[in-house]
Amino acid sequence: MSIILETKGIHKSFGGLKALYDVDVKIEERKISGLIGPNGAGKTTLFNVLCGFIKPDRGRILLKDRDITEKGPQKIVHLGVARSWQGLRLFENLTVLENVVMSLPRDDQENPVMIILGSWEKSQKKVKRSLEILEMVQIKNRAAALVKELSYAEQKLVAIARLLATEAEVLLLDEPTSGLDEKTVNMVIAPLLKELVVQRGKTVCLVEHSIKLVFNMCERVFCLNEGMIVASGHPLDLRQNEELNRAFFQII
Amino acid sequence: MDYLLHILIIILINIILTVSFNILLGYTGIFALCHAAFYGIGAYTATLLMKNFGLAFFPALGCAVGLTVLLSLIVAIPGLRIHWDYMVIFAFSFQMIAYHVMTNWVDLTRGPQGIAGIPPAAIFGYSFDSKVSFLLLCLIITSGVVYLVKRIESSSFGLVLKGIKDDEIAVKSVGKNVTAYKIISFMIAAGLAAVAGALISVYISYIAPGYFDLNTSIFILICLIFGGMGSIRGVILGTVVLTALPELLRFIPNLPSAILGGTRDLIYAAILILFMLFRPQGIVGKTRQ
Amino acid sequence: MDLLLPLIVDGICTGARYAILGMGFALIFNTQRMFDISFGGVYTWCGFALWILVRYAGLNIIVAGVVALGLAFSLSYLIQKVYMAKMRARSDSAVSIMLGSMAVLMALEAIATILWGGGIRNARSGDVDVFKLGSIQILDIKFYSLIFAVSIFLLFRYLFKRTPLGLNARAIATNSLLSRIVGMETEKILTLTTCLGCTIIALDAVLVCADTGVYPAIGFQSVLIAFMAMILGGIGSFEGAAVGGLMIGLVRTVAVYKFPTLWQEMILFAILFLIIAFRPIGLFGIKDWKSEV
Repeated sequence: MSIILETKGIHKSFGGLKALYDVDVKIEERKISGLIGPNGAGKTTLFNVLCGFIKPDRGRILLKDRDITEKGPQKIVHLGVARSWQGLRLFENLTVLENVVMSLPRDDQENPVMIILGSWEKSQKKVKRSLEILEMVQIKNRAAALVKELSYAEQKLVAIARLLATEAEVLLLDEPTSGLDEKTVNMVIAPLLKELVVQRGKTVCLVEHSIKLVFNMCERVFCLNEGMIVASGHPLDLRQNEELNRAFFQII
Repeated sequence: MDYLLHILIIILINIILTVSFNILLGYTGIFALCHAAFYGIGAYTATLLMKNFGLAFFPALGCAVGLTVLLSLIVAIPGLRIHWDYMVIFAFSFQMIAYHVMTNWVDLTRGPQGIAGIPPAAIFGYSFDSKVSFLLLCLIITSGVVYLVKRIESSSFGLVLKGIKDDEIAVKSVGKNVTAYKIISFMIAAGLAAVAGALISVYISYIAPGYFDLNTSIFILICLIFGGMGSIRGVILGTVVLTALPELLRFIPNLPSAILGGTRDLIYAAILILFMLFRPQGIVGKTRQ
Repeated sequence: MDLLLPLIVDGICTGARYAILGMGFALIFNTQRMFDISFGGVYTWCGFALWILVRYAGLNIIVAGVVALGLAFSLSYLIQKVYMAKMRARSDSAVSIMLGSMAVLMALEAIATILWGGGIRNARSGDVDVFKLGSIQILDIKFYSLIFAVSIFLLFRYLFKRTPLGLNARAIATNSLLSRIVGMETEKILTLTTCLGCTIIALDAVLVCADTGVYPAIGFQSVLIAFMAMILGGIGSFEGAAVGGLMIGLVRTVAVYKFPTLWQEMILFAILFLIIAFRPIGLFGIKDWKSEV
């Protein structure tokens, strides 16, 4: 399968601390990949680097063979890579619907004056698309609620909806299921991710602590520890390795 | 009656100021304490064009808006790269610089004496020289401005501004060019402040640097805080109350001006203190993570 | 260059005063990591307190000075306990703290205006001593400014580096999340260092009142200078603030020689503006004290 997003030799230090060391990651198109490792391994830092929020000290990032290392985060979203945040970072004072509408890519047909002066609510296209996304994530019923009034689980769903709204091809999700109950994970998140990949041709990469989910969903796994990629491959294959099994796959 | 008309006119002009400042602080969360500088730049530009070049009111207003918008970039562009917490001081220093230029560039602005004898606004030969006619003019222009800002608030653009106030990084992560949005909101706010500047010039027929100093910026800020940021209705209400309030003080006989000024400042400070304690939500903006 | 040398000396003395302001503010800021500008109100009131004590209570100026500083400490303690502590508890936002403290500053200056009017009051006694340094004469007050500035500089460097209080204060500054969890102890140290900083700043008020005099709006002026000193010298650096203050004093005094008086004020703001625009961390500032992502 073809590689859609990859890093070559990424190094990143913060002060004296080496957060990422010679990280090579090849994310395959139209697959669900997992990034696992203990806390502090550098998973979120890697995501930050992939999306342009942090510039690496050394190394390159390639999206469809195009070098995006120097690009800014918003440009990278346009090019097709978007992420959700472990801390959610939702727009708390806006409604669920507004959070999603805002994240829709700019309509090239809309002229700038309309963007500034036209009421977004009147844009049927935007509203319809947003409601569709909320439906996919199964939170349409809360469309009019302010995000700060939602429960944590509901907010997590909104975070995913917002990510989908960007229409990026490559979706990086930072701990999408932490704090969610099993039912939601199995009935909403897992099927949604599968649908995104299989039916909508997206590429998904998850930072995950739930080993069960990783085995359920990921066709490929990257094991990160202390800033270095220790192994990568199919989870079942990696599990055969005693050491890896002990180090990574026993994590609850 | 005349006095009442006067207050109404001032209220309307102030509303333009506060509603436009709301774009910066209420929606986008940019604490640019230099709004009075834009007000002043607009006023002086319009005045000089009308007095020295004989421009009519509306063309002068247009040029004033244009120049102010351009100059606002001096604050907007560097202002983007600096950390949030510095924006206050940065904009504040711009305010002080503008004030000093107005006071000291005597050749251009006639300094602290100010510029008098500004002709009244006129269009197609009709002159708005009576209070009533000017009130109507202000009513139309202010309504226009309020309508414009309302439209901005409910637009996609407005949504992004509000997002920036909540979490700028999240806005970047959904693909929006935060820099561009901030610059545009600056330009719009500054341009509208210039409109107010042009209006006050032709109304009082006299402008001086003291009208556009830090106190005025603080006054605009307090109107916003008092009325509740983000909601146009609240901002208008706050402006009405706080414009009318000092006028009431004038009715107390024999009050020396120092005490008058001191009392007014004390009231402003008290409003700020109380609101910060009991209703800080509109003001909080970015919180530390 | 006959005129230049006395100007430079004068500039250093003025700079010493500004350094005092900078150091006091640095003390406050380094612990709080917030722009708490309520010290401006304390400044005004301390200056007026000295005036009252000397002119109306007839106290000897040195005694009055000490009393005024004690009052300054108490006032700042009151402000912190009654208002600023609550502000800090309520919100982490730097803008809130700045606004809240600005409100306190405004209120105190307004009350001073109402009570005593906007005019200048001083506690200057008739006789003035003059110190001679070679051919240069230095006014006694100005000389004392220099002495005080240097003493404070050395004293606090020692305090910061050697004593438990200093270490605690620095710990809070670098790890405010952790110290928030620890809670009450932090508040106490915060309050103490802030009051200390305010008192140092108030020392300048005493010096000014004994020299040229104070007026209600002078508190705000002190905030401006303290800010500029700190930003010039570098956010987060105590020594930097002192150097920053010294430089501003020098520039201001020597600039009289070159530029028309009118533009002096503006030059300072322009410097502030340019520094923030191009090098916000200042000369000696600590990088990365705020991280974004």
